[in-house]
Amino acid sequence: MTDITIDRGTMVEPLREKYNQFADTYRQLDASARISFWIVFGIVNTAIFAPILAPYDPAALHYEASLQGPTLAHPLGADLMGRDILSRLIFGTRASLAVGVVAVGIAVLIGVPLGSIAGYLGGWTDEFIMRSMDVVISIPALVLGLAIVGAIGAGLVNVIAVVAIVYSPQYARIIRGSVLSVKEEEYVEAAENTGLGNASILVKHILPNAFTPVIVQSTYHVATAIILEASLSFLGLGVQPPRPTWGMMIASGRQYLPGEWWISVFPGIAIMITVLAFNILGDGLQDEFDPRSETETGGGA
Amino acid sequence: MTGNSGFVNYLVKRVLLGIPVLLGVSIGVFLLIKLTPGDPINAILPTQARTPANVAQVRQRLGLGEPLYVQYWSWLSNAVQGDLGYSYNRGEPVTQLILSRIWPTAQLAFIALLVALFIAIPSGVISAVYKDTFVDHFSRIIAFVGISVPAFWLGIMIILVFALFWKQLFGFALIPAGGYVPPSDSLIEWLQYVAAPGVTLGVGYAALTARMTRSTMVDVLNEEYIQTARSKGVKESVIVSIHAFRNALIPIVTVLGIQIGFLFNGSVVVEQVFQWPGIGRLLYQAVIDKDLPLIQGILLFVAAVFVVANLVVDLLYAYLDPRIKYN
Repeated sequence: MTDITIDRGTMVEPLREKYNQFADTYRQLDASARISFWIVFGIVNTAIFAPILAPYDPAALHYEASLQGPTLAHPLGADLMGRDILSRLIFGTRASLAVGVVAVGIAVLIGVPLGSIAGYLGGWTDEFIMRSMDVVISIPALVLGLAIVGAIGAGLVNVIAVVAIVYSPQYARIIRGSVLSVKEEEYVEAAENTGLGNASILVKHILPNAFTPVIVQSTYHVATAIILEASLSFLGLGVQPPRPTWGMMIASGRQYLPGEWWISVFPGIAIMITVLAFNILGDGLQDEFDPRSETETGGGA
Repeated sequence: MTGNSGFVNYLVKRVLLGIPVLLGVSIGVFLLIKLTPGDPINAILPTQARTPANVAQVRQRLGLGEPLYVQYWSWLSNAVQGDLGYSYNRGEPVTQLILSRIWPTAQLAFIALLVALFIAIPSGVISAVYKDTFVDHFSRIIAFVGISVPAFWLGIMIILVFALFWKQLFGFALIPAGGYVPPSDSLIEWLQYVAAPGVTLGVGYAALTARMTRSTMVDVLNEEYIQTARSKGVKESVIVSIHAFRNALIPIVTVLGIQIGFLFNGSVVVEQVFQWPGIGRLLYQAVIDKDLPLIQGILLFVAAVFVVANLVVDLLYAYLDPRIKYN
């Protein structure tokens, strides 16, 4: 790989450092994780450029193509109303990634402060926060998700909220553990002695060192969140029509089995490839950063 | 550690730790339902029966006019005695509805456990022994696919291939496309019905178990006492099956127990796909019907099972592994 030379401007320097860090990490991944990285990259771009990539409008009705199998005009076939399956799959990446990435991002934003506060302050604050997290963890994700959606209603925003709530305790736990172990290190004591406030010690000295396991865990969580979203959509309680989602496509194709199998089969393959890529990438990152850590693999429903 | 009394102390402490979690769950579940928009009266009384007198009477009976903490307290004290109230839509006690659905879900969990024990653990051990060979890579990829495939889609694909396509090709279906026959009616028929949903549920569970077995066995095989046994000339098969596997078994059993939440998640969609009358399907129907007492009851039940399962696993761990100190 050729090195990129960039002017040593003060603004560019941190960016360049980030790029080099990234390139280093990538170079050390094994082949399967590298392939997974490019698949994830491709899926993210598919979501962004869906309107350009999709051959048709995902909601456009082509009645003449109703329940047509794969043809040149519709490579993955069409559903009852003649909507193009390929275009709906391409637009479906948006719901999956919106829930996967945005919800897990919010879960991190909820869990990290809670875990940091718990670990750093200790005592009753710690007990209260962590026992509350135990409460959330004691109900399995899809069961809790189903009940919350049942209470507050379905829809994209609610599903994102559900996933964020369900996954945030894991980050609180990870960060708390890291904070507890880093807290004892000498440089943190040194910072305390210089009279820095609690908050700035946390942000400047503890969190940057505790963030690696969070990155690994969140990669796995994106995978499980995609399955969780698909499961809710499959049950009719996820992202609502007309937005196409993979889970809903599978559900709607069930009644046309076995004759028109393409309606249900292809979205499932899309879910599987996406989730597989995130899982293998997460595994590669875990081996890379911390070969002995015990973050959980993303198993879903 | 003082032998038995140490274990008893640990047991008591561990049980006491589970209580605040369950209390927290009960508060959360109660509030979730109370904060649900919409008047529960609408779910209980059909439109034509919604006369002011009727509404007032139902409110009175359910204590809906009382302050929240009074309602919570009466709900909780009933729940502790096993009374979770009445289902809005079915007119049956929630406890009874849940009890009648435990057995079918347990059957699926049992098949899933068999898949994990007889496929996942051996493949995890083989993977660890032949680490970084073709066999290892192959079984790891299979495990990854098993984790990544959505259970509801896998179930539909199994129905598509073994029930629908099979019938088109050979004139008969290898498995039924869904439904339930209790094992007490006919064991053979039960097996035909339970196999597909049980295996569907088992695939993800087994894949997680296989990964855990592999990583635990890899760790154990690197331990010093294994090297010592090797240097003494103990046969490799004896090392793997006796020295290493017995020690790896404890964390593996732990994972099997802790993943009970995974089985509950799976049962929601798998039971829906195969029309299996278990807890998961009951929850789904309760959500669709907006049957709030039933949702409350199921959440509380699932959380209780989870907390108890964790407790049992912890105690088992402490009991089996003398290195664990009870504190």
